[in-house]
Amino acid sequence: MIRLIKNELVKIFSKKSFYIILLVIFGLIIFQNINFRSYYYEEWSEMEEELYNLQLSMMGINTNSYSGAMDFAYTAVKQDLLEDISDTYGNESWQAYVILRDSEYIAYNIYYDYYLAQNFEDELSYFDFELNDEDKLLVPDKEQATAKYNELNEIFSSNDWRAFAKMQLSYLLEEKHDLDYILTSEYTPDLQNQIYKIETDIEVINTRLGKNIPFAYDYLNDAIDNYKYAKCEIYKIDNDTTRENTYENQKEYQNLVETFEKSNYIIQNKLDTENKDTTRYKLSSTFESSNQQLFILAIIVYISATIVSEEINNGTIKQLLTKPNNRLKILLSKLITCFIMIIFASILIPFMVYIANALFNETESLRIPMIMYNFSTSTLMEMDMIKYLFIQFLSKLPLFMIIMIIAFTLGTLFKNSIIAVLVPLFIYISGKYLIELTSNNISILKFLPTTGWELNNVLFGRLHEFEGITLNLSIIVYLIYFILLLLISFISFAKADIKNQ
Amino acid sequence: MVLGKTTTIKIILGLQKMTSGTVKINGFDIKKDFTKAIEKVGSIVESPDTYTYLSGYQNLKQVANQYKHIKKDRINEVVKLVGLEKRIKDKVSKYSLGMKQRLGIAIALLNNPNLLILDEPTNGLDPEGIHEFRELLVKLAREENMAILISSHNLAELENFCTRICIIQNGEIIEENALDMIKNSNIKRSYIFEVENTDSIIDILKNNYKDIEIINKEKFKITIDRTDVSNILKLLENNSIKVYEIKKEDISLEKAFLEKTRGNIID
Repeated sequence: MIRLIKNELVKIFSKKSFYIILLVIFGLIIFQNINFRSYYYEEWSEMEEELYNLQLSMMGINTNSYSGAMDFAYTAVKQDLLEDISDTYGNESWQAYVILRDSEYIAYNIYYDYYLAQNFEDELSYFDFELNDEDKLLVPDKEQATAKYNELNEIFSSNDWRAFAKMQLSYLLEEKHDLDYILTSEYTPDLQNQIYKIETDIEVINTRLGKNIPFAYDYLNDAIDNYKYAKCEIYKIDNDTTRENTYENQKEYQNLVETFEKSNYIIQNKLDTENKDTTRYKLSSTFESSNQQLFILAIIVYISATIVSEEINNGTIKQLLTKPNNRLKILLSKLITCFIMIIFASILIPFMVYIANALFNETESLRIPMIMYNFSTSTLMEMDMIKYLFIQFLSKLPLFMIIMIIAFTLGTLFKNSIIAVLVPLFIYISGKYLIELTSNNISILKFLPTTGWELNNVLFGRLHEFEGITLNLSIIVYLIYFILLLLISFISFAKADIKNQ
Repeated sequence: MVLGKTTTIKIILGLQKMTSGTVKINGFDIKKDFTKAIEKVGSIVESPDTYTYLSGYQNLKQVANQYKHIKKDRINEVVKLVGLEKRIKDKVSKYSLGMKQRLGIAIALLNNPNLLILDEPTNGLDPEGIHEFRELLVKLAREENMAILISSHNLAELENFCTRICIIQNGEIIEENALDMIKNSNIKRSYIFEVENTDSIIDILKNNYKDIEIINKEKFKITIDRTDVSNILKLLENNSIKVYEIKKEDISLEKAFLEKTRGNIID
């Protein structure tokens, strides 16, 4: 048997066409992984400005009500202010960042209050309605607003972000104090959540100061935002007694927990684990990116579809069948060879991605460990790239195997390599659409192999996107299809007559 | 010309299923004991199909790996036997048809078969190649005591070295016998008579015999059953014609074949 497998491998690795395919794939991988300079952060603030302009032009319609007017003013002021700040400190400055980010609302509120206090009368005359007494109470005190404004401007011009953070901290503590006081007289869940949000903000600013994380457009600040959001949402859900325990809600909760744990990891370790421009990210997504997946599948399908049909078409099958070997043994040796080629492709493609990136990108990022969240044990798993890729490979193995067996069976049945190459690839592509269809809860789709063939959706206790698909069901459905196709190919091969030419 | 020979060979080798009957090779039933039955068989079916992207040597190694005990020495041995030493490391795609044929034979001989099955083995060989090939087969049969089953429609070629013939037409065996027996069996044969004068021959014999051909003044040819030879001699003697020599014209296998299949419709 081993000698027969060795024979098959020699045949595959002696074919010129095989190397041409590999070369083309390598070319495509290089092309994909050349690091086009990322414009994400550089252009961000400019894009945001445009966004505000657009928002303003759309809001103009609604300026005949008080709230509409306030919204308009709030956005218009922000727009003006952003231009000022950008001109003075630059687009990328922490000053611009704290004005722009909604999560850092304090700085902007100071400006807005000051603006409103200064220009209130003018602003009002612009709109065609009058304020009532209650609304007037909301207009900030001119003196207080000016004091805060001056303090903030001083901090901005001193360019000391820590001072700004400390100022934020004092404002937040003040705010929390006020809300705590209100809470004693009237309890509402909303108020409780609001307090929790402020507590989280306080916690984060302390972390910022402790870990020395300045305000900036970077991964750490992204992580801080995500952390704050996820933590507050989790708190809300945990304290919401009316929330139903539906499948959708469970999934949402899982995602929040994962975001929370991962952002926390980034902040605590100051490791940029989510950066998509790194070699690390590109290598880690080898099995997830549909392009790289297609490359692996292309190799698998090419081998599995031709391994039998080509021999029949070239007549060399006679050479194999007139030797003292059982037909089933011959077919099994070919099937095992296909399996070996799955492993080969799954090692080769990541390796190609690595080489392409090592040549045109960097390798520094590979030092950052991979992280995965385990929902079963509620722990964050830290692992190296090899182990991570191995887990990803295992979770994709069912997909690879079923595509392999489809190509293999078609090649054996029809002796036509083209059918055997194209049909599995069509099934793979249509499988993606079928997965989308499952969201309509058509329960029969659960029993198609497509929905369960990517196990990374259900690994480590993660809930599948669609209710009812579990790891066990996936494996059972998958095995039935696999064995069925296996039987078809073996029976047809055992009974096949080798026709005359 | 003849239908069913490749199919027959494929059935013998287990490549196609038989609807009835049994095939036994070396005492083993091909259906029940395939691996044992085929163990000592070497074959070329239709054409010597080899992996053209591999070298001749790699092809031989592929085959060697399909048997349990074939050593490297045996590969070199068969390469020498078919005279491919110089080109054995080249890719088969660069081989001429004759070289491919020789490689096919080397492959078929690799497992020291005691039965060699060859389907149209000399297709594409030049006359010299055919001659060498024939010598090789005769040598194998005599020295290695190897049975060789050849299918061909080139009857003249078979006649040169076959000992036993089986004629298949429309999928049915119409004759199976030793070569001499087929050629000498009870069919009409041509005899050439050398006589004093052939002028009156037709007049003398035309009443009893039709197939008479006057070759020249002293020779005529007549196609008759061999039992008729003495009758003719008598007739000639009665007419006082001196007979110098009677020669039996050698019949070719082809003629014998046509004789056998005469009157049958060939699809």
